[in-house]
Amino acid sequence: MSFRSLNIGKRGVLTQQFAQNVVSNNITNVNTPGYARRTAIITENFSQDTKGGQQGNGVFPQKVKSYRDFFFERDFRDNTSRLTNSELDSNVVQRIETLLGEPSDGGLDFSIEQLYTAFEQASLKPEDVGLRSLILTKAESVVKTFRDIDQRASELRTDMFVKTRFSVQEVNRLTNEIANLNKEIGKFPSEEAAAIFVDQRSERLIQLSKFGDVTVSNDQGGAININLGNMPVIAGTESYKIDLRESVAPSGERSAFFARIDSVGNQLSVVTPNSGEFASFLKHYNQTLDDQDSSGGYTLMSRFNDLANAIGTRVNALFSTGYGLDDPAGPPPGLNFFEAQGGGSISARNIQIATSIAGQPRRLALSDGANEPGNANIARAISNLSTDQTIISGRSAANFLNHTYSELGNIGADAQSGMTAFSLVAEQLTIQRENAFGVNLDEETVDLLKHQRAFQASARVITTANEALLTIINLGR
Amino acid sequence: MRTTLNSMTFSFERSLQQLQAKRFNQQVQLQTGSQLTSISNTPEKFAAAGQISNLIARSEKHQLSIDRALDDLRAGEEALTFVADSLLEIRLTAQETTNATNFDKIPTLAVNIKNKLADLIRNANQDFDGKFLFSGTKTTAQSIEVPATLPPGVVPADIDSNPFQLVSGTQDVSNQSGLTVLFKGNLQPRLVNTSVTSTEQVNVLATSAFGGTNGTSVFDTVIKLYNAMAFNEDGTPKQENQNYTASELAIVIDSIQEISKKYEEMNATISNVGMQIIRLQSMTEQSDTELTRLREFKSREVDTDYAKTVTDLQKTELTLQYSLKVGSNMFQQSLLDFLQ
Repeated sequence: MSFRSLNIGKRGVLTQQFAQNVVSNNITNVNTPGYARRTAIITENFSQDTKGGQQGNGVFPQKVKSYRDFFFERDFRDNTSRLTNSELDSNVVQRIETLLGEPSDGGLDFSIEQLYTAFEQASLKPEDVGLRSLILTKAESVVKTFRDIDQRASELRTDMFVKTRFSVQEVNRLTNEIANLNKEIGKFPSEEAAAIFVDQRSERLIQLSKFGDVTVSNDQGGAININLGNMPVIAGTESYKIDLRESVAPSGERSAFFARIDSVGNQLSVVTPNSGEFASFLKHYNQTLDDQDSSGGYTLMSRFNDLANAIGTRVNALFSTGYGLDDPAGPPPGLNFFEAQGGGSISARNIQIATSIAGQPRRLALSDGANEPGNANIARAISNLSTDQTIISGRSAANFLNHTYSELGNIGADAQSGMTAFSLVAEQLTIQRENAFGVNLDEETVDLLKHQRAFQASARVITTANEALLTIINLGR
Repeated sequence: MRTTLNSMTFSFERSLQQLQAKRFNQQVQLQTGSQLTSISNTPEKFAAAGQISNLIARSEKHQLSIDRALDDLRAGEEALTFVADSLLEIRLTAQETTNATNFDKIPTLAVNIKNKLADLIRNANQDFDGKFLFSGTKTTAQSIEVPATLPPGVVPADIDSNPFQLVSGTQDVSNQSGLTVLFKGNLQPRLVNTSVTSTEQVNVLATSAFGGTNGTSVFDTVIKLYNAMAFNEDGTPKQENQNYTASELAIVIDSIQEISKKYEEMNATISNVGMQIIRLQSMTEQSDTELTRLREFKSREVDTDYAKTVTDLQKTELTLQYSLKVGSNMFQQSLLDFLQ
C-alpha cells in the first residue's frame, strides 16, 4: 500500500514538473511572434477497484493544449494582406508626391505658368532681348521639370521592380519553409502534438499574407495547401517557386507579372495576387508609373506625356506662324518652340527647346508681322494658352495638372484611410488574438506558483509515504 | 476580461505612433505655415488651393500688363501734351505775324516756326522704355527702313533711323522750302492682355496723334505755314520788312485755323488716352480687390491657423506625456514585483 502512495507522489511530482515546464515555456515565449500559449492538461490517473471501492492512482499529464483558432487566423491574414496593400499604395503615392515636388509653389504647374507669364511679360516689351531670354530660361525650367519627373518616376519604377525581386525571394523562402513545416507536422500524430511547428507555420503564413492574398486549405497529415492569389504555391509538402518577369508588347509597353515556374525556371502559369504588396506593385508598376500603359486606368506618367505633347503642339502651332526680330518680310520661317529630342512626338521624356531657337532670343517668333519688333501678337496668343480650356482633355494645363494631382491625392487618401481602417482591424485582431492566445505573465506566475506548490505537496506525499514505510519496517525489529 | 502584456503594449505602441505622427504633422504645419503637408492628406483642399493659385497667378499677370499699359499710355499722353503745347505756340507765333505791326518780324518768326517744327518732330520721335511712342509696332531704330518712295531730291543716305524725319528735298513753287516730314513707322496697334478675354491698345497711332492718312498732317500744315512765312510765292526767301501778300495771308490764316483744329483733335486724343488711363486704373483697383480676396481665400484654405495648431500641438504633447506616464506605470507593475 505504501508503495502505491510513493508511486502516486512520484506521478504528482513528475506531472507538476511537466506543468511547470509548460508554464515556463509560456513565460519565456511571451514576446515570440505567433506564439500561442499552451496549458498542460492534467488528469486523474486510472483508478483501481478495491474492496473498499475505487481508489485513486494519482495524476498524469494528459496533453499540452495549444490555444488556436483557424478562422481567427484567416481573418488576421486577410487583414494583413489588405493592410500591406494600403501601406504600399500610400508609400508609392508619397514617393510620387515627393518626385512631383507637391504640394509646393515650385512644381510643374508653377513652371508652366511661369513660362506663360514670361510670354506675357515679353508681350509688353517684345523688343527687349532680356525678356525674350527670360522666355527661354522659363521654357528650360519647364523642360527640366518634365524630364526630371519622368526620370524620377522611371527610377521609382525600377526601384520598385528591384525591391519586389527581393520580395519574391522572400516568398519563395517562406513557401519552402512552410512546405518543410508541413513535412515535420506530418510526422506527429496530431497537430496539437506538433504545436511548435504549427505555431511557426502560422507565423510564416502571416508573413506570406503580406505579399498577397493567401488561401489555405487542409491536406492530409496536418499539412496545408496554399494559394497565392489565383495559383497554388504549396501543395502539401511541395512548394512552387514564383518569379517576377516582364513582358514587352509590340507597342513597347513593358508589363510586370508574377509567374509560377518549374525547377529549371520555365513558366508554368501566371500568378495574379488580389491584394498585398504584389498587387500594389503590379498596379503602380503597370499603370500609375507606366507611361505607355494601355489599360485605361490611372496612369500618372502617360498624363505627363500627354500634357508635354499638348503644350508643345499648341505652342508650336502659334509660334511657327510668327517672326523673330531679324526675320525678313515674306512667309514666316516656321520654327518650332518645342521639339522631341531624337524626333517623334513630344513627351515628358524627350521634350526640349527646339535647337533652332535655343540660346537665340532674337529668333523667338513673338510677332505676327515681319520687322515689327513692337508686335507681340504671337507672344500674347501663347500667353493666353494658360487659360485655354482646350489644351488637353477639355482643360487648361493648370486645371489638367490640378485634376491629375487631385486624383493622385484621392488614391493616396483612399490608401491612407484603408491603412487607418485595416490598422484598426489589425490592432483589434492582434489584441483579441493576444487576449485569447497570448501569454499573461500574471496568470502564468500564478500557474507557476500553483504547480510549484503542488510539486512541493507531491514531494511531501513521497516523504510521508517513505516515513510510513519506515515505520512499518521498524515494527518488525 | 483576459488581457496580456503584449495586447497592452501593442495598443500602447499604436497610440504612441499615432500621437507622434499627429505631433509631427502639426509641427510641419507650424514650420511651413501651410496646412497642405501632403496631397493625400487633403486632396480637396489641394485642388481648391490649386485653382485659387491659378486665378491669383492670372490676375497678377494681367495686373502687370495693366501697369505696363498705364506706363506706356502715360508716356504717350505726356508726349502728346508737349506736341499740343508746341502747336499752341506755333499758332500764337503765326497769329503774331498777322498783326500789321509785326510784318517786319515775319522772317525771324518763320525761323522760330521751323525750330518749333523740329521740336514737334523730336516729340513725335520720343521713346519710352526703348520703344518709339508713335511708330506703331516698328518700335526700334533697327526696324525703321528707308521708304520705298522718297521725295524728290532726297536720297536713301539722308534717311535716319527715327520714325519721323524732316527732310529737305527739291524746292519748287508748291513747296518753296522743299521740307517734307517722312513717317517710317506703321499704323499697327500694340496690344496687351488686360484680362482673359480683353486686350488694350497701349500706343497712340500716328494718324490719331498727328492726323491725316499717313500720320503727318500736323507737320504738313506747319510746313505750309512756314513756307508762307519764309518764302515768297515764287520761291525766293522773304526779306525783312516784307509783308504777306493777300494769298500768303490767306494761307497763313488757313494754316492757323487748321492748326487750331489739329490742336483740338490732339486734345481730344489726349483726353481719350486720359479716359483709357482712368479706365485701366479702375481695372487695377478692381484687380487689387480681387487679388486681396483671392489671397485671403487661399490663405484660409492653405495657411496654417497658428492659434489652433499651436493649441492642438500642446494638446497632443500633453496627451503624449500622459501616454508615456501610463506606459511607464504599465511596465512597472507585475505580479513578479509583488512576489519578491
